[in-house]
Amino acid sequence: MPDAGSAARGHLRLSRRKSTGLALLGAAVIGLLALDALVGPAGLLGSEALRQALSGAGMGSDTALGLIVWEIRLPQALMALSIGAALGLAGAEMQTVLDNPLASPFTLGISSAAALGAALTLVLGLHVPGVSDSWALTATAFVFAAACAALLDGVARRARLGAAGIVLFGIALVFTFNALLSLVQFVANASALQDLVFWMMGSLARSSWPGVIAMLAALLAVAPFSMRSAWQLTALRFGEERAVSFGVDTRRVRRAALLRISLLSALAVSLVGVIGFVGLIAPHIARSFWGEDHRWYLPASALVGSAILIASAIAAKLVSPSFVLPVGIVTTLVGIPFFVAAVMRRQAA
Amino acid sequence: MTAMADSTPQAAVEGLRVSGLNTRLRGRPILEALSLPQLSPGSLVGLLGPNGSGKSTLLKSLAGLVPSSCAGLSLAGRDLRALNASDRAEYIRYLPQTLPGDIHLTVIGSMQVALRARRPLDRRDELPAIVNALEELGIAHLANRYLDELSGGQKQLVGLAQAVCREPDVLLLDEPLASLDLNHQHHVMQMLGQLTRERKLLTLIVLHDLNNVLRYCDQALLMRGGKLVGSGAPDAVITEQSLAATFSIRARLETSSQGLPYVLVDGRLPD
Repeated sequence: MPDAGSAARGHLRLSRRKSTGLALLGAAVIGLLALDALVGPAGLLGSEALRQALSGAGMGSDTALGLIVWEIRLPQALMALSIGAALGLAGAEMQTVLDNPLASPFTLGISSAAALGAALTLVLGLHVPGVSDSWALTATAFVFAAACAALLDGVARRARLGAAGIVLFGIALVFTFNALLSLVQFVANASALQDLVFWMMGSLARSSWPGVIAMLAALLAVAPFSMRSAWQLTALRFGEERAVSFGVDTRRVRRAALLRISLLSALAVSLVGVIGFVGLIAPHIARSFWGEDHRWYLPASALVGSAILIASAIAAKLVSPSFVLPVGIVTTLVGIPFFVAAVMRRQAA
Repeated sequence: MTAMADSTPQAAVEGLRVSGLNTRLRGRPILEALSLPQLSPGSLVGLLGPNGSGKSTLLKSLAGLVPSSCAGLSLAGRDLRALNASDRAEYIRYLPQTLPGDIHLTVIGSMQVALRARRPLDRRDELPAIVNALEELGIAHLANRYLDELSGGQKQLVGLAQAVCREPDVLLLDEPLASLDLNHQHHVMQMLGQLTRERKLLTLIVLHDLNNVLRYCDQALLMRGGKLVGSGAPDAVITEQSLAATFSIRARLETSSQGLPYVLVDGRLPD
């Protein structure tokens, strides 16, 4: 039997390894980000061209390359980074508070609810006085997402559905919201319809600097609260009763987490539409490498989410030289086999 | 034991006092007007009774995990009724039967959660304290293993370590010996007895093995149908008559060659 010192040393070694892994992952995300800015329908940028584009006049650059990099590729790449992180973080918190490895904003209907909210605003032409139309859309998306999250939580707590039941309930919500979305589509006029289709597919194509800044700001605002709850969230993994016995006010922790999830999902949906499976896959990868100590699990899940979405965006550009696929299609095609594998592993366990 | 008036000075009031406890689950009364004798710190109290007699519900009611009403619930003179479950956990710590099976967290990580989830502690001494607690339970060699790789019995020990590390006043354990082998059962009972006496804990423990109650507990409470039907020294509570009345079994109490009392069960009584 090892002495006390070796157990403590082993723990510190493990912690160091996890921190190093996280740093490497961060570096990989930055590398992917640079690669994303280099490739696109206008061709691969050489290092010379890139330097010219970046060093030139910055955002005001009027060369063609500068415009492409500054107005198209960088906003898209940074949007992929921040949306991926938001979905990864939201998915990780959601899997913990609903105690379900198949939970994510996409699989349980929160994204669809947000999309429905956004679509209604768009089609009905709702105007909130004093609020610009694009933020009004974000606000309704948030209200719908939060209502859906509250419904999921209420059903999970009160109906004693069990893990499988919640997933089925969530999938029922997805179908319901998608049907309502189709209804909205049916009555929409031509220009609104075009916007709707864009939303339902999930695409980075309309990324803009204000959108990127809003998403990054939301992430920076929400992440500290997530990290502050890291121990309480980890405690929730031990089950309701044990978490309470650790002195955790589980209801408050859960509500705060669902509020963060709704906020991140709604903003993501209102900016780029419904992008599926990132919030489901990222937590699984983060969990298997970093474990479920949420001090690592949450940031790792966010970074893995960024990496997945940026890589998907690069893949979406490389499929064909003549067009860029909506990134939501790529993540869904990659995500479905993963989802099936996760379900089967769960059945086997 | 006499009922003390509310005006008794705090210092004179010791231990856990429970009176008039009512708990309903899904509309069905489980515990009705249940009162316990005063339970003192430093005692290991065995909670006995057939399945469905309300043992788990009693523990959860005391911990505040299920809604209940209580005429009196105090610990060392402090009224606990107004505290919600997470605040009550400062004084009374309830340990569910098992740990979930699929947590990808190390044993040390699990102990850190138990220590830090409420509020940050002084972290300098944390790691040695954790390793020390693990050593007491004989699981220090598992310190950096992940929970989802451990056997049921090993997980049970980790769960127990989580419960004792924060040093509550009252420890409520729901069948902590389930899924432990014989060696570990006796190890855990010995350790609980030692902790209870050294740290002046009050430990309420649901046990099915009557011989463990006779051997390790200072006191026994016998429940049936949501009511307390016996309390006192284990060998006074566990008798042929009380076992026949509560468990419907024919049993004898005999003294082993080492002079220890043992329950020998001959069979079921006819219904």
